[in-house]
Amino acid sequence: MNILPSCTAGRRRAPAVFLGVLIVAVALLGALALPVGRADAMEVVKCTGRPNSEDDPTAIMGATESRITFEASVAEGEGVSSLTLRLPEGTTFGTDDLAVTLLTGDDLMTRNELDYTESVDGQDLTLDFAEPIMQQGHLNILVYDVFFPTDGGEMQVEATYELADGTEAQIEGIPSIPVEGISFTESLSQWLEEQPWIQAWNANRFLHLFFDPALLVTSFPVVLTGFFTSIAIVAVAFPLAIPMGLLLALMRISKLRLLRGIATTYVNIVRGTPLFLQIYVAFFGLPLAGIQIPNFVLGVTVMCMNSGAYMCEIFRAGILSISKGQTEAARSLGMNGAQTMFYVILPQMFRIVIPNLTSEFIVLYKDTSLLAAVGIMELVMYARTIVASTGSITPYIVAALFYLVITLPLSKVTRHLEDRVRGHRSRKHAVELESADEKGASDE
Amino acid sequence: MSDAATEAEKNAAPVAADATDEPILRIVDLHKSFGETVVLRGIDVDIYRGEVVVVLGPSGSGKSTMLRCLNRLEEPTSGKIIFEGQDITDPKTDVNDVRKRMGMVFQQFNLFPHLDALHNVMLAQQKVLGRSAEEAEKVARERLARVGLAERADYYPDELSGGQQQRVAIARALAMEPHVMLFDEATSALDPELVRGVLDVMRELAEQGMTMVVVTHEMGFARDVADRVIFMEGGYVVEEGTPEQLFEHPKSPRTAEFLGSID
Repeated sequence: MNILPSCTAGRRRAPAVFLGVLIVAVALLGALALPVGRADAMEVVKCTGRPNSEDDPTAIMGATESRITFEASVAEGEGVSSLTLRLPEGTTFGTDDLAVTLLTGDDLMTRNELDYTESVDGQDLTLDFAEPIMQQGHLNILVYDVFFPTDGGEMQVEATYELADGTEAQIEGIPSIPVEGISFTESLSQWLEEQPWIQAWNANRFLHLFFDPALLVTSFPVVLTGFFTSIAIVAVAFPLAIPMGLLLALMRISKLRLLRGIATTYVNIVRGTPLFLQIYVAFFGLPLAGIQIPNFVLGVTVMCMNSGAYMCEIFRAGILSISKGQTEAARSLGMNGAQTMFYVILPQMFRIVIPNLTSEFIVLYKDTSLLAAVGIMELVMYARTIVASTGSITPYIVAALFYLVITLPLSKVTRHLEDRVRGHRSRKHAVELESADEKGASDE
Repeated sequence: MSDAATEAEKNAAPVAADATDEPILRIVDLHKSFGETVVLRGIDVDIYRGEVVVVLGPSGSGKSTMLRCLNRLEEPTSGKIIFEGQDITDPKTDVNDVRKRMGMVFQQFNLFPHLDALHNVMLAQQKVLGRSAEEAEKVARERLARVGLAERADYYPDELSGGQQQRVAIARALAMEPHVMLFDEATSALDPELVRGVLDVMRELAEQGMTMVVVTHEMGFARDVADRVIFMEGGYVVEEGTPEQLFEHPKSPRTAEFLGSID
C-alpha cells in the first residue's frame, strides 16, 4: 500500500540504520497526511501534453492543437471498472480519436485493447470498462484534439476511478502540464492560416510573398518593438538637434570669422557626405580608436549631429528671411544684438521654419533605418530578422506601414502649416480701415 | 495725457532756435559713402531742443541716409554727430545707450508682427530700460492712448491698418521717453486717407515741445509745423530757413524748382 516514492528510493539505499529510521518516520508522516482507509489501486505514471510550438520543440502552447497522454498503473486484482479524467477548465478536447490501451508484461510492451464506452460531461471524460481490469499494468489514455486555454498556465488534470466493489478513489500526485500562453496576434494568425480565402490568397505567389496575412499579423508586435526604438531615437535626437542647429546658424551669421568658419566647415562636411557613411565612421571608427559608446547613445548622437547641420541651414534661411527693418526697429529702440535676436528675430523665425522643421523630422525618422546597418534594433532591423526566418517580404511591408503611420499625417500637417505661413495667422480681429472722419490721435 | 505733455515740456525750450542754447544735436561735416557711391558730401546742421526740423529734398538727395546716421543705423564715413554733448561717432560710445534717448519711426513701420500692439510698446521698455512688466504696461497703455489707439492694445500688427500701425510705432518710440524723435518718411507708405491720422499725432507731439527731425514729402506739414526747413540735394544742404523763407522766398533756384514741382 502507500508506497511513497521517497520510501522506495530510501529502501534501496538504506543499509544505515539511522537513515532507515528517518525514512520510516517520513513514511509514517506521509501516511498520516493521507485520507485514511482509501484504496490505492491506481498510481499516476505520467500526464503530459504534446509539444506543439513551431519555434520551440519542447513548448506546449495554448489555443493550439495538442494531445494529452495520461498513464497510470493498475494494481493486480483491484478490478478498476471506470476511470474519469477531469480536464482543466477552458480546455477543449475530442473523443473521436480516443485511444485507451492497457500495457502489460514485464517491459510493459504488450498492448491490450480494452472494451469501454466513453461519456463526456463538461470537463469530465469518463471511461466505463466492460470488464473490470484485473491485470497488472499501465493504463494508457491518449486524448486528441486538445486545445489548452489561450492564456496558458499550469494545467492540472484530475482523475478518479471506481472499483468493481463500488469504492471510488482519486489518483493523487498527477503532475500539471505547463502551457505557454499565446498572444492575441499569434492566435489570430493561426486562425487566419486556416481560413480558406487566406489559403486562396496565399496561392498567389506575389501576394504570399509580399502580403501574407498571417505573417502580417505575427510581424506586427515584433516590428512594433523596433518602431518604439526608432521613435525613441528621433524623440531624443530631434529635440537635441534644434539647439545645435540654432547655435550653428548663429555662428554662421556671426561677425566673427572663426565662428563662421567652424560652423560653415562642419555644415558643409555633414551635408556633403552620406549619413550612411557618417554612421559607419562613427560605429566602426570610434571602437577602433578605443572609444566605447553604447549603440543607442551613439546612434542618437550621429542622427543629432547630422540633423543639426540641416537645421542650421533651415534656421539660417529663416533668420535671413526676416526683414532688415525688424532689426533696425529693435536696434533703434536701444536693444543690443543679442536682445534683438532673442526677442525679435528668433520668435518670428521659428514661426517661419516650422514647416521645414517638420519635413526635417520626417527625414530624420526615415533615416533611423540606416542604423539597421550597424545592428541597432530599430524598425527595419526587426523586420529583417523575420524576413530572414520566414523568407517572406511581408515584414518589410509591415515596417513600411510603421513609417507611413508617422510620415503621412506629418506631411499633411506640414502642408497645412505652409499654407498658414504663406497666408496669415488666424486673426482675432478683422482689419478695420480707418474711416475718413476718424481723426486718429486728435483726442481733444 | 497732461502728464506726458508736461513731461515733454520740461525738455522743450520755449523758443525754437535760441542761439544761446547748446544744440541738442550737432551734425558736423558728415560724409557717407556706400562703396563708390557718395551719398553725403559734408552736412553741417545744428538742432536745438524743442525744435521741429523738416528735411526736404528729391529722392536720392541723401536725406534718409543723413537721418539714419544720426542714430548710427548707418555708420558715417567721416564727420561727427554730437548728441547732448557726446560724440556718438566715437567708437567708445555705447550706441545702445544713445539710441535709448533717440526715437525713430520708419517708413515701413517695422512693428514686431509676433507681438500685439501693447507688447510692441512694452518690449524695449522691459529689455532696455529694465522696467517691470506692470510699469511697462502702464506706460504702454498711456502712450497708445496718446496716439488714439487705447482700444487696439490687443491687436496684432496685421490686424491694424497702416495708419494705426504707424501710430503704434510712434507710441513704441515714445515709450522710451526719447529726447529726440527721428521720422523717416513716416507717411510715405500710407494710403492717402490714412496719412492725416499720423500727421495729427506728429503735429501734437510737436506742439508738446518734442525735438523732432522729420524727413518727409508732406509740404503742408512742413509749412505748418516746422520751425526750420532744410532742403537737401546731391548730398549737400542746399538751403535752410524758416518755412516762410523757403516756401515764399527760396534763395536757390534748385529749391524753387523742387518746391514748384511738388506743389
